Amino acid sequence: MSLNYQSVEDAELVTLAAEGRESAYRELLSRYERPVFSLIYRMVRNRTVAEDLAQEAFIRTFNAIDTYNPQYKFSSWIFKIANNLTIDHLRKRRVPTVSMHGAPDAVTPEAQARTSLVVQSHGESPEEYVQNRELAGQIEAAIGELREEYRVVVLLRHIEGHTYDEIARILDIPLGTVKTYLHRARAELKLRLAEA
Amino acid sequence: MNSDRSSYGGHLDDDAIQSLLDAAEGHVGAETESARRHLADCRGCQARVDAWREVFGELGQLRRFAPPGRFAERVLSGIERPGEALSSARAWSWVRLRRWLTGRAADAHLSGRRLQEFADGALSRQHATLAKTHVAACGDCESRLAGWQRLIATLEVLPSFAPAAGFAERVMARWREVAEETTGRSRATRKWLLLPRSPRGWVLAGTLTSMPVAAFAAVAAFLSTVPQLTTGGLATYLWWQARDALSALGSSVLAAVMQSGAAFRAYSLADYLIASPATAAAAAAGFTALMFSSIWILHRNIGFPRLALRHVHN
Repeated sequence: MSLNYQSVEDAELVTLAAEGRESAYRELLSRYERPVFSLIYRMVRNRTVAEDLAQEAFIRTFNAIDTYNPQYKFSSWIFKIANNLTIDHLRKRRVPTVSMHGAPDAVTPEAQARTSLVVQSHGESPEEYVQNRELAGQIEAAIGELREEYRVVVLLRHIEGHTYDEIARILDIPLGTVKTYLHRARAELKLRLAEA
Repeated sequence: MNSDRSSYGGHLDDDAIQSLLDAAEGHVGAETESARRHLADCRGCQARVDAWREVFGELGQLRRFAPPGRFAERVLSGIERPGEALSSARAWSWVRLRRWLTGRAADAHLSGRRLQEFADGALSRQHATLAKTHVAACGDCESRLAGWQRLIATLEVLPSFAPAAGFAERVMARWREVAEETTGRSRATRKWLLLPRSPRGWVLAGTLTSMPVAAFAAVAAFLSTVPQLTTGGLATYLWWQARDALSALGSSVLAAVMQSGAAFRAYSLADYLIASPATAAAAAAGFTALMFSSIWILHRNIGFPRLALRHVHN
């Protein structure tokens, strides 16, 4: 008799996957592809990069499926892996901040002109145009302007519906810090939306 | 909303213990029951709870210092009363002052953080009831709460995004590739180690490796039946034999090297290399490159599969 994987709970699916059943892996993938991709996409704001990172998150999760501890929620585990990959990516990509009005030690107008940045407008490809439209709403733009730490707690709480405790586990930070980040993030969002 | 804290990390952390002790003082949180269940069976946590209880006890015994006489009257006489067209800053000062003076928090406005947590359903039942009571009576807090509720409602209806079509297939295909790569490397490692690949192979290998052990055991059993032979005498005899064999081997190798002229050629090459700094530097660079290439080849061929071991829990 064939098993209906859609009605099986995550923990049991993981057990079946660890036994080598490919259908169990497929079901886990089908359940979490959208949430994991959405989280990463809203963090990195680039579809191609988000897909690569989501793929890597699933492969790492599946490779380590034997080590899954059923005391934790599977969703917390996969989001933890996805978040760490995303943070690693963002840290590697980060460049030193330079003011558009010139270097901090530029005193004379000549030095300021020499060290200032000129922002050029590059033509968008059709793909980039679609991507930018997806995240172009006021609220999405406001989320995109949040610090990474604040952004991820807002996404995990209000879009993925995790509890404060689960967020603390996923991000490996104290519960109080989660509350503080959420409070500040929502305050910033409210302010930005009021300004818009 | 809250889940079982004790089951996650094993023991109760400091936050959980403090929540538990708060619960004993009437501040009941959702995690309290699970923490109590854990505490009933865990002596380590019981000891830590006792230590925290002492801290709570000490704090509870701290006494309040009374302000100097007529302090309240002096302060109150300096500010405007409610109903006298207060500025918002002064009104807020009045509320805070009343709260401090009277010890009653019911009249004070709720902080933004408290309102957010109320709107998000994250307050304990007791705090939620207090907040609800206050909001029902305070138009200002009611309107601020509505603002937070609107923001949270906006966030919660944001869409989720789907990856491009065929994402699942690509993940499964890539995962199979990685799995095959990992298995291939494991096989290569096993081949390099000359490990048997089948049960029959293991039986054969076991038999072969047990034969010398059996032969040694048989000789030892035979020798133990000869009274003239002692363990010390046998060891000394074996040591002499081994020393003679090593000495003979060393002499043969040295003689072979000297006769072949290899030592002379090596000496000539070294003499040529150190004759000029350029040739010496080129030789050193070549040797270093050769060494790094060897290390890289070893790393690529017998190193453990990286994906299977890398940052699994990070």
